[in-house]
Amino acid sequence: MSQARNPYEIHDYPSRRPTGVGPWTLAFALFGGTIAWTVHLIAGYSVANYMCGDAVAVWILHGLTVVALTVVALAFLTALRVVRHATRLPKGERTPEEDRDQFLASGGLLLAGLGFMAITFGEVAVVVAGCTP
Amino acid sequence: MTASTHGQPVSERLSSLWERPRVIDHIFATVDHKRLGVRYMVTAFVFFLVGGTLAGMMRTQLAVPENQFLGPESYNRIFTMHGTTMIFYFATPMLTGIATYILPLMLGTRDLAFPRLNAFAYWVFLFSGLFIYTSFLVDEVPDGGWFAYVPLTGPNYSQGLGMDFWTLAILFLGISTTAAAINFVVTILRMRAPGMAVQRMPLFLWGVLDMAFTILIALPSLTLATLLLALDRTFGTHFYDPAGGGNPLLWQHLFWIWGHPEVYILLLPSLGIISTVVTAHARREVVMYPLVAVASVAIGILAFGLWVHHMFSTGLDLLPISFFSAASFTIAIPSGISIFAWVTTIYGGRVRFSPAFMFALGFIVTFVIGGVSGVMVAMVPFDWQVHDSYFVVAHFHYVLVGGVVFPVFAGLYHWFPKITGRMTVPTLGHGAFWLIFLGFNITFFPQHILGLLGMPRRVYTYAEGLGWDTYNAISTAGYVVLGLGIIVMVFDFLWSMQRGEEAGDDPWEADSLEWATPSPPEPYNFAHLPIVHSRTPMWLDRTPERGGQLDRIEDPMDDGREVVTTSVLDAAPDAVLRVPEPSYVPLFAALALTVAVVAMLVEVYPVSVAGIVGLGALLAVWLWRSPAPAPERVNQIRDRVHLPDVRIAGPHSLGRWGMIFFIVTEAVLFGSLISSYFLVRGSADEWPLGGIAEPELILPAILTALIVLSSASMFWAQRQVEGSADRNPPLGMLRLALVVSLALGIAFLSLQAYEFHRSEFGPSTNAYGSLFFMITGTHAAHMGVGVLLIGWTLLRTWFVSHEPGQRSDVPNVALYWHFVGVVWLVILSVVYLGVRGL
Ligand code: HEM
Ligand SMILES: [Cu+2]
Repeated sequence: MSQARNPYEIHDYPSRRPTGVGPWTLAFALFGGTIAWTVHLIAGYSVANYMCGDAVAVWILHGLTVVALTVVALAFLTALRVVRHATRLPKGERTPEEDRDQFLASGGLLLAGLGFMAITFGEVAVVVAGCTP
Repeated sequence: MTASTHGQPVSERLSSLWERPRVIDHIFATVDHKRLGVRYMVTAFVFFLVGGTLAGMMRTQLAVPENQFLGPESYNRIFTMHGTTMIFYFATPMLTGIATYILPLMLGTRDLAFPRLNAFAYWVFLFSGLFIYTSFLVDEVPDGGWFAYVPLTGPNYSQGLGMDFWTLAILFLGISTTAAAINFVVTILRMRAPGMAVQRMPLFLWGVLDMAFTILIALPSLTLATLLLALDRTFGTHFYDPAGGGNPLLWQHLFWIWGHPEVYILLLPSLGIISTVVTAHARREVVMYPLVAVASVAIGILAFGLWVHHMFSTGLDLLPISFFSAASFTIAIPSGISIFAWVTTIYGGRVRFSPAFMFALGFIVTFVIGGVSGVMVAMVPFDWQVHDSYFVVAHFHYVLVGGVVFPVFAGLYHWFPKITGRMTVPTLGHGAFWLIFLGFNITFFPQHILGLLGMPRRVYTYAEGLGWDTYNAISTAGYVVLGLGIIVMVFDFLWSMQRGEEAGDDPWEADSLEWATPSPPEPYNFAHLPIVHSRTPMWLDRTPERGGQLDRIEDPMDDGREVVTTSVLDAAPDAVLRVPEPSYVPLFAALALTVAVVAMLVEVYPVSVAGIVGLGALLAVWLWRSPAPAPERVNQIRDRVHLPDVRIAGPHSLGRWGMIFFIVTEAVLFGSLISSYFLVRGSADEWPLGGIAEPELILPAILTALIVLSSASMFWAQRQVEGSADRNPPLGMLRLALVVSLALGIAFLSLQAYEFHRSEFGPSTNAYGSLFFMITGTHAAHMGVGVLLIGWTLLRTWFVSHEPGQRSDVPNVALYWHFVGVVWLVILSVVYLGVRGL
């Protein structure tokens, strides 16, 4: 029976150098925008449904939007930084982990963009429809 | 590749491990994902034909005005059963079947993570379908529409067994769907070929993964909705009953939290099929891969933001609704990205116009039309105009037929050669495509116009001279064309199965790993498991340096049904595990469940209980022997395959991952239950309702203490197992810890029973009582299951010997127990403490 090769030799992982991007950074780059949108949706819906009539309600809604958009922006910037970092070398010289980071962070860019749009649509509704009982 | 181990050629040795010789075992005991996948597909297709026949009856009735073919009652029954069949018994299981068949092959492994669970899920699906169709035999057919709005489906309006059939069948089927979803998630996350990192996963796998996640998060709402409806109908609770303080809107919320994502649950794997077919038949990788992959994730997430958009006409205020309209518009973007990517890919590719590709094209065209009308439906004022008109019927058939049926047919044509080993007949395939495509458009396009002309949906007939006659006649004619197309397709499949040209391994010269196996594949899929270095291994990995072959693990791993597991993100190999043998237990377990469900329908509760007990006993048997290899073998594998770490328990075990996702879906279930509590409470003038006293706090305080202590002792038990990798198992301590947890759990249950017993109100007093008992009762039931599990683990310490590092039952049961404890803390603060604050 032949001696099997070590899968780590024939396999690309783990590779020569660490990527320098931590798991939490990566997670935030990927999902930060989505989480901001989710919170904005649920909180905004609850406030609009149960609190409109109170004069502060509309300000709470604006505040929510500001906070949510800030988080989205941070997620976007983080993702951008990760992509830049992962693609600093030409294609042939990147490690598989760098490819992975690039993939996940580009996904984060898309998700943050979508979060931005959904939150902005919600805010437009607040401005147009107002929050009166 | 022909190396021999155990004195046998590898292929013979593997065959003897992966397949039983007896035919009866194939039929009733198989756990082979390929056999089960085919069964799923065939069963779902039969349901499609049945649902299509029901549709034909409706179209016949509607062909001319004032037709007398069907009366109003039969029409209600038929559209209900048509919608229910198509959504629950055709679309979801068909996609499940395709995924069941393809997943392990595409992942480069030998089966799904939980093969017996897979068999169980199939049997439950089959029995649930047979169950709901027996309603025709006893003439008690469901008639409340596929979304079963209360109060029309509640006890006051819908007498007879019809809706009981519906609620029980849907609950029953939910078990199957959840099981399949957990299986898919764990398989995709943990069993990819070494090297198939996230950035190299085929898009179909992304689609199935997103589908499975969405199911785990969306389905509990439907389960809860139907469960509450069943209780209202049978036991006189008041969840949806305004007279008892309940809230009918609760149904709509719960139903659509599931119902809207459901459309996307079906769409996500379908998009994956389209990507697969486009790649293979345009002979080029889909452009913008990262965006398309994440677009499918985004669609899955945004789908949850859409639930209230089906309730536009129910009088919710404009602003709250607008938050959800925002999601409807946003979801158009990822869909647009995918479409753009496919079109670009096709445009620059060398296209092979096979039937599979034609169906993919048909999908793209139809999906665009469905998307446009969808955006129109999403606009709030427009929705008020067309709500409940034929515009909506046209819209959702464009989405469902265009978005699901076409991709399914594309997939069937694409994978037919792999599954059967033979090619279909191209002329027949093209004929079928054109008949189906044109027939479909002739049927449903005129319905947009009918909607704008004001024809309401769900009417069994209409008066002459409203300008609807011609369009209805055209629509029915379209159905005939469509039906012909289906007949041609079925004929093509049946004929080609026997007489078609031999396909060979890889007739399409496609990119993904399923084409690296013979057609049809061997029972063990791969003699030597593949290793992957790119996104399209069949195209890019077979370089001259590798001798034009895929890279493979040289060891055939044939000391049992062995598979490699890999890490979640990078798919680095981390363990060798054994998957279970064929077994009759899944079938018997599904039968026991069926007995319980049927007995519930006819209200013979002792038999129901017997069925559940039988199910429990079978599950205990099922899980009794884990297929973990013996300790010597673990070391042997470690030496031979050079894995960094081979451990059966702990974070590597597939069972642990299964448990985690089970808990995820359970958590959503409790979350929906608690939200329902708040919704009903929000619409009540006083709380508790009807002068019921606020709950006392002494008993709950004791209960909390018991549960916290029991969690602590389970933690202690866990430490005995996990902290002792190299020591002799300290079985005494372990047993003691388990006994203590067990005793505390039983004490909890007894005290809770005492609390229920002396309560001055009951579940049918009013909605408060219903919710109180539902929440605490559901939790108590989970405690009961937990107690049984702990007892079972305790028994196993005597009868099943394990190396300490391998005992995966204790940590899994502990995880479940901690979860149930946390749920209690939430219940304590909402149901007991929260009432005081008011
Ligand atoms: C084969 C071609 C099909 C035809 C001719 C057809 C025809 C119809 C008709 C006539 C109705 C009743 C409309 C009304 O009176 O309101 C209907 C309802 C419905 N159809 Fe189809 N259908 C077809 C395929 C499908 C498919 C493939 C699906 C799902 C995957 C589907 C899902 C539904 C649903 C959910 C309803 C609503 C039932 C209800 O109102 O409760 N249909 N269809
Ligand atoms: Cu919708």
